[in-house]
Amino acid sequence: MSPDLDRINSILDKLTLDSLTLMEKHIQSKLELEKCMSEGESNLAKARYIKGQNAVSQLQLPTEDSKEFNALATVHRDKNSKLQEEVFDLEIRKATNEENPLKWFGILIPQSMHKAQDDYKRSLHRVKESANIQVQLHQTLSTMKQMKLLKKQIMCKE
Amino acid sequence: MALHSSVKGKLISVIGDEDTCVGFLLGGVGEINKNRHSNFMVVDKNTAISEIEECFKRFLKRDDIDIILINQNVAELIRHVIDGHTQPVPAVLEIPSKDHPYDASKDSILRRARGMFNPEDMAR
Repeated sequence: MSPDLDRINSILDKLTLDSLTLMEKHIQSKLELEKCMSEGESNLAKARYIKGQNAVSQLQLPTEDSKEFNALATVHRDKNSKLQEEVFDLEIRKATNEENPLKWFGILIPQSMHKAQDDYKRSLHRVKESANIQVQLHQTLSTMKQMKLLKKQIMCKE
Repeated sequence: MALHSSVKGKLISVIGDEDTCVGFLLGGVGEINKNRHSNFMVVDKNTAISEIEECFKRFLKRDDIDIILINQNVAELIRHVIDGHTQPVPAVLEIPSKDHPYDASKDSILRRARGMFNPEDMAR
């Protein structure tokens, strides 16, 4: 076996292990996200029980005819010094009373709506983690694909 | 967390059922921009697949969106479009919903990853 092929094989071994670890992390992060979301969903259900079925629904969400407003939660792409690749960073701006999405649902907001808001803010952190793992996995798979092509080319030559 | 207040961040968009949209919008991801375009879409049983597909493609084209959240059951309806998106950004995240728990075997990125492990390729 040529030294080149040997080197490619060991890189492929490492990438395979990395991708398996990332796949496991990816599933884990999705399950954590599911847990946060289901807590939020049960708090939304409690709020519906108190305020009425249609008082917490898509009818309260802004439409394209509503006034323009900016997102409170956004992501930034930063260079991670350790991984040497871009990672998502979440920024949740502190909302003024006017900006708080809770105000779409009226003045008297049940405690469960506040709790649901906190649950979904926590979910956003899980979303950020999950997106970072997904991007890493994507890059690992692309490198693996390139390495496999290279390996094929070398094997054909030999 | 780094300080970002001077730079406007990129958006997280949502395509999903009522609870998913209400929840994440409560969390603060919603935005209506100056062109009156929103970054979310509520999908119900009356929503046509073509509408979902069109909305997803529109979000992919927008350069102010970095993450697209889509309920996995909705993603199943437009799987061919999702599989066609091979760029890492915007990251398309398939998320569970109230009635459909997360199923790793349906996730696009995991299916792509599993495709890399076929025995022929692994043999030296």
